[in-house]
Amino acid sequence: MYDAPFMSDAELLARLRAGDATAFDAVFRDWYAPLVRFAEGMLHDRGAAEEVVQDVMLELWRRRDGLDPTGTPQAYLFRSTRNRALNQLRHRRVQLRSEPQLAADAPPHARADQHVGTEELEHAIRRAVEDLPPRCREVFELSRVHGLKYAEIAQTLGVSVKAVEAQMGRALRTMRERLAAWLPGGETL
Amino acid sequence: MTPPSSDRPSGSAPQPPDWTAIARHLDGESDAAEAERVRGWLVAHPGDAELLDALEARVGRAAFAAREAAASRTIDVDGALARVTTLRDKDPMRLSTWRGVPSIPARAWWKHPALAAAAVLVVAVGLYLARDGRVRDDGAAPATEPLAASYETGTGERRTHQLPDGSTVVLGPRSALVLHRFDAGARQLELTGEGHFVVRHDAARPFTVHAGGATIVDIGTAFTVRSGDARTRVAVTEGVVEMRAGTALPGSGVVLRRGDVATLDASGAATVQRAALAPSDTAWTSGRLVFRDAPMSEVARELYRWYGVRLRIADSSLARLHYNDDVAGVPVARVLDNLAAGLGARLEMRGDTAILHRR
Repeated sequence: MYDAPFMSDAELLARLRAGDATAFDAVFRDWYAPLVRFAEGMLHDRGAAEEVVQDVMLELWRRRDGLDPTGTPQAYLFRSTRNRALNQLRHRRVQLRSEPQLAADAPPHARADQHVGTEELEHAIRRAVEDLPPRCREVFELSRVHGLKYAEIAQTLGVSVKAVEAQMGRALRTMRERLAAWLPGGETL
Repeated sequence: MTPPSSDRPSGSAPQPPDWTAIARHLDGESDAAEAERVRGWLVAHPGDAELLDALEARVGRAAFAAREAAASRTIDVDGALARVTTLRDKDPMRLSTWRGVPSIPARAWWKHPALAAAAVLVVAVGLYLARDGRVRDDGAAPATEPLAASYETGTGERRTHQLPDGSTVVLGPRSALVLHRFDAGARQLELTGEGHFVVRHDAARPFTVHAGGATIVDIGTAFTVRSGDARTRVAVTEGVVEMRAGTALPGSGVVLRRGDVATLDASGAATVQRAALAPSDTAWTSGRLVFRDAPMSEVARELYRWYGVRLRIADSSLARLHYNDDVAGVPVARVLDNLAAGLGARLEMRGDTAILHRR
């Protein structure tokens, strides 16, 4: 039976640093699936993505003493997952630079019973995200798909918060233009 | 910010929206002054505000969270955690040289610890019954339902079963019932989760349910049992039962009559409320999820059982609140929206974890 932990991110981090295994479990349950989806978007391989994230989680536990007490577990987790996925990509020699894709490609049967209009919209959204410039798309996905705060995205990517803000503004404007046909009222914004 | 408008006062050139400021605002990253300016601008430009709302409905965090939650259901978090925990505890300082086997994308019921224990018992009891053939002493089992020595339900599932003696049980979500002994001499069952029993009384072989730390003995009755955390709750809808701690002697428990509700805590202490049975005690048997002044621990447990969603409360003031709701057949998103609205909280989804933040 599931017992709900009542902890904020700051409490979770403090307890994790103190070696509390239940805090580790809570962090794992919170972030394992989002991280797998994030890594899968880079590696295009669910098994490899799970392997990377399980390694990252073990490393989180091993390095818990050194975690920044003012940060959040997710900032560390996404940064580590991204770095490991990039290493794996380099190792594969598939490409030198990651071009993460929107990790929202559900199996075809998942939408089989939905209306065509919904499918078209979903397709348009995927295309709109995929067509963002690589860094812009990465920032957008970390914010909107994975729910990271701007400061956490900045830590993950090693850039400034200002740069994150600029990319998000750019992404939003581009999405607005690309999805205009699906919005009420047309082009006035 | 320079808010932005396509319809500034006449004489000033139209300026494009400040998308950076708008993005900060939508993502909750604006300071109070900027948030106020953006809100003011949106109020002054209702057409633009409507467009932004429509855009957010499609590419906002909530929209992606719903898609991600659906996609994440194929990821076996419990299995992965079990593997990592084994490695973590085996060698906490191990460097990450391990290369694991990708998890099986399924949330099999037997991975649930309590149900896994039940599965072992299924085999053992099943063999026992097959060998002795002593189960059906008062008639055949329903033709539509093969004789079984255990029953279980998955997330959000309810099932009604007729037992070999003609008694019936409705099992709630993520629950398991094991028939440890069911013959001419005794009827001994173990419940994990929630069950509603309508018992065919037989004084010669008491109908005994073990649930959590409690033992409930039928004296001719229908009753509901809920176990799974530190407490076991029994509500009697018909007749009489005896409830006692699992270690207590027969006959030493409290006698509960129709309408009584009793709770046995981890220490074995019973609390009895006479004539306290409420419709909410049995609403789940008809598919209604009802919270009546429910603490967050209960809300979290039920959301997990009914929808497989883990609830986390990221604020101690929210964790102390109690909650009321009554829903049937609605998607989990609606239930979570109700919960967040009812508590005045902000909802965040991370995979299949729902996190409530103070607004």
